[in-house]
Amino acid sequence: MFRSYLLITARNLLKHKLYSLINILGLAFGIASSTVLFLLIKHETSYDQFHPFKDRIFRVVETIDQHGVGEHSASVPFPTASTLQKDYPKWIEKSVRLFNYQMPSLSISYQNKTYNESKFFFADSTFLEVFNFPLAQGDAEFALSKPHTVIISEIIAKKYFGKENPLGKKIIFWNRIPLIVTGVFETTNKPSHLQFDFIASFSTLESTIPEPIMNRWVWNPCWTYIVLRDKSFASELEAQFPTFVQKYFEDKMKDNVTLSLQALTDIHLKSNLDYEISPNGDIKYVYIFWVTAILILVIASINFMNLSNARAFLRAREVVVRKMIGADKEELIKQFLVESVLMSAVALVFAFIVVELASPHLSDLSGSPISNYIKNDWNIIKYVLFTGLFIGLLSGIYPAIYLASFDPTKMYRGSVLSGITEPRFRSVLVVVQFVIAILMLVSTFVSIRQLNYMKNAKLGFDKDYVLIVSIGGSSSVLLYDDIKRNLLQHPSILSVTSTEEVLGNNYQTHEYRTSINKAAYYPTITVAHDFLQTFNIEIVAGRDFIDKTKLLESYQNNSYIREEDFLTYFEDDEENAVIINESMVKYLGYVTPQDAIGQEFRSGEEGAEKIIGVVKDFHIASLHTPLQPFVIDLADRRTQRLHLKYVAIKIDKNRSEEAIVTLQNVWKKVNPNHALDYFFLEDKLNKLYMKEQKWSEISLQFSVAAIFIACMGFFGLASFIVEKQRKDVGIRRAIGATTLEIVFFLSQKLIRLVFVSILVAAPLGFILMHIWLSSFPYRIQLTPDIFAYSGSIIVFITVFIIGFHTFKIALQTPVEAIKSL
Amino acid sequence: MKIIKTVNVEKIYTSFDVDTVALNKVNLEIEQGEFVSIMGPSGCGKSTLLNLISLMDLPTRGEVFFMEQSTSKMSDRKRAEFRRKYIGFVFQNFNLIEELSVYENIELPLVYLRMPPSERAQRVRAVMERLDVAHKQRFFPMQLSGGHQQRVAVARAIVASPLVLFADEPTGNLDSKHGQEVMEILSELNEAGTTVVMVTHSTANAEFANRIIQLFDGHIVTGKVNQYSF
Ligand SMILES: Nc1ncnc2c1ncn2[C@@H]1O[C@H](COP(=O)(O)OP(=O)(O)O)[C@@H](O)[C@H]1O
Ligand SMILES: [Mg+2]
Repeated sequence: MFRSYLLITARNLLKHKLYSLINILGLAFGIASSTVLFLLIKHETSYDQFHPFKDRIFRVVETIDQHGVGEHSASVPFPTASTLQKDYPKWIEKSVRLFNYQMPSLSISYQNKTYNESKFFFADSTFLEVFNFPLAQGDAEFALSKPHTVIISEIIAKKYFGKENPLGKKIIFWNRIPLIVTGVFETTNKPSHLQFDFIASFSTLESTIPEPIMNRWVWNPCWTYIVLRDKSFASELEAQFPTFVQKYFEDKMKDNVTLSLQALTDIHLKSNLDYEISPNGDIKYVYIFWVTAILILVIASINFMNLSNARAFLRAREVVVRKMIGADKEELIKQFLVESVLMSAVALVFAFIVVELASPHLSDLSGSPISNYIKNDWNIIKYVLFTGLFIGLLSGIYPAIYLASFDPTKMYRGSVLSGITEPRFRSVLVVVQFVIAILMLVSTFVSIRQLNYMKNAKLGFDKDYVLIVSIGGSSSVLLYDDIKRNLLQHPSILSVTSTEEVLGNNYQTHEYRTSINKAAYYPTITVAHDFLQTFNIEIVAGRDFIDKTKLLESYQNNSYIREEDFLTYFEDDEENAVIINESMVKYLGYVTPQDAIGQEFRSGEEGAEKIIGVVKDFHIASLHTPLQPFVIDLADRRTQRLHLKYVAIKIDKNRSEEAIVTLQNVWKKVNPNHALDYFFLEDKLNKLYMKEQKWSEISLQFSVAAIFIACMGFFGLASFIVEKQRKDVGIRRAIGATTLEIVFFLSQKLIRLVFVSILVAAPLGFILMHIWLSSFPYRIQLTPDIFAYSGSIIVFITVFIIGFHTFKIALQTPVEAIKSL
Repeated sequence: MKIIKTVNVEKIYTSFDVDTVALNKVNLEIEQGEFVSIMGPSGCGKSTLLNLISLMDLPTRGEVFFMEQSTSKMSDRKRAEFRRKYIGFVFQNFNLIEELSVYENIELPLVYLRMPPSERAQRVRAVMERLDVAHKQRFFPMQLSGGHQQRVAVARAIVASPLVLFADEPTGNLDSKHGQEVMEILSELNEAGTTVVMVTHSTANAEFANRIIQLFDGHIVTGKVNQYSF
């Protein structure tokens, strides 16, 4: 029996080749698209799932808040881990700290080569016990137990030592601290928020960082993880945190500090703090992926249903004949179900091929490729198989029952087709499909626009033609003055300054005393001279920083320094001046920027800084965060070494290549043993919107897929409606209707469906996009043209499809049309 | 005026790679005001011929002149215009549009003629009365008997006052009483000046015409003037 079903199915599929192809391809694309999304979801939700104690591991994080200014830090002070463990041994089993001087990169030398390494951390020896990072070489138990030891990744082993055995090799950290390689990590590709190439023993730091710093409760550079004896202790421990903070944190800040716990497995998707150890994902996009995947599956199954129905129509005669010779209803339903399941099986094969072809090009929201670890997950395969067959069955049921219910007696009388009523249900399905397709289009338009808006927004400073060179965490910082002097000798270099963080990317917070606050932490950009000029930032009151070692002539082009400023100024700006922004003026309660000039803004107890200038507000971080009060502070000559991490070079836009060559030459001359790391500021800032970038790419791809699938379904439906009216067309033609009148007559209903879809989709899209956009403090307006474009695309494609079907019929002679059924 | 003239008209149907020669070099002339019956055995090409001279279909070869104009080079649009303005057609199996009511079916040709609604209503009412289907105007074709369907089909064919009325076995599906009625209507129309071209099996019906064209296997055998009709 089953064999005969298969035979009949095969024959039917071949007989209606076009329909079968559209049907199978539509489903295959649907399954493939949603599988890709499932892979992305699986990837995003797999972070840190591979640690045996994952449910008991928590990260301790710190919030400092003074009236809306402060920081949400992913890291805490040095003594936090050990003190917590000492005070709450009943609850805490183990802890581990990671530390990297909060430097974007640290310098590592081997033999006579020096590299900037961005994934370098010091960690307590418990690192390998808390987390599950197996070693390919070395002994996990002792690898980090002694000072001056380091475990490296396989990639680094290859980079530094080639084919030589890395164990026992000596590398030099920061030009003077030796580290012996005691282990090599296995490359697992399992997704983790911890991304590292070097893990050096924390005990190494005891000889480098003075003990008072290590014991203070102010600086908070340590990412601190604790393993609880049971995960239920988390809330009890958190309840103790206020007491803990009061007991240990310094008086001046303990009232503003809150500690809390973050589950390890929540970090990647739910954490968005300052100083994250690596860029995180966003749970919002996981939800969006889910919804997209489901919507695409819905489109695909509607498609499958509609096309099966259209095919059913072509087979009405067959069904009637079968019934008249005695086939019963169940028999027919079984036959049709076998057909649709079989078709979905074929579609599954196609889908796997598509996914296989696409998978090397897949990347997650941070742009890193999806690892094979995810792709080869047998669960995903099972899942896809199940979904495919389930959809096949589900979408097969409706057409099967529909087909089997044809009444032979009724149909025998008139034409076969007149007995088949056009179910309203089908029109609803088509509208649903188009609503989804339009929504996806709208979301694509909106996300691309929002992305471009954020990338091109006026930030308040110049980000183009600025080269950034990393000098922090190495001896290069000592050469800054040399580098600057040498660079400025070339005409392609317009201005040079140095900053603590990449401007517009992130910032630090430092402690200041002002007229209104005894001590508070403010977002701070620590800079060197010529900062405002390099970034073309506007001053609204007061003056720019002055370098006492320079002559008045060198400030001739600086409109923010007047001659009398220069002559009446006696003390070094390094120790005595800060510049604030307009928001800070407001925050401090001054009416005009001018009122703030000359007011105190002291760094620390002995600080003598006064406000010498006010700049127009500009964005010191991505547009995901609103503008805030901040201070621009000139690095002290003594502490420059710690505070300046980047050189920023404004170059002549017409001579950018020359400028880069100049930089390379100067670097080679001044700092020959150290690798040069540079990038364009604009590129770096664009990466702030990586998630939005990736999402708009994904959204574009999937709306194309959705439209493609929906249009296949529409193609089937259009053909059905047109076929069904073929005879009427003939009659109308006989009465004298012109081709255009016929096309119009046939298209009416279909066009109406499209317009209904647009009417439904527009308000829905508006609401959804409004929700999405509301998470951005700086966002585009939802203008009607977005909906108009999306609607037009759908109208354009559908009119094309309708035209394809209707003209074919409308061009027949009346008799041909009437007779052809 | 020679309202219809054919020159060596041929029609060959191709299906399943088999050619059927339905008409073979047919030459025919019909004057305005004539009542012509086309007769012949089943399958001899009567319907095919009627379809060609009523511009419902295209010949494979040869030329059809309608109102002394060549139709072979005519645009599709022009042919539609001719059908709309000058031609009425009664199909053997009625071919009413099932989604439209009796009234709407009859009105349709006037819609395509872009006649204003008030004039349309007047015309439709008049023709419905004439064919005695006014009481059925809200019905749908499926709800009518064969006789009524045929009368609706005739009403639709004549509502726009065509110059020529074509009818393909207009009584074929009717009993003799209803058949007689339809024939009388056709006669009346002819008397009022409409040219009528009719395909029929029945000798009795053919007698209403003033000329009978005999077709056999795609050829015209005779085109004699009907001696009884005057
Ligand atoms: N659409 C068609 N396809 C193929 N053959 C056709 C078609 N229409 C008519 N024929 C053939 O052409 C011949 C003439 O048909 P028709 O004009 O309908 O005859 P009549 O009306 O005299 O009974 C017949 O042999 C018929 O089978
Ligand atoms: Mg016939």
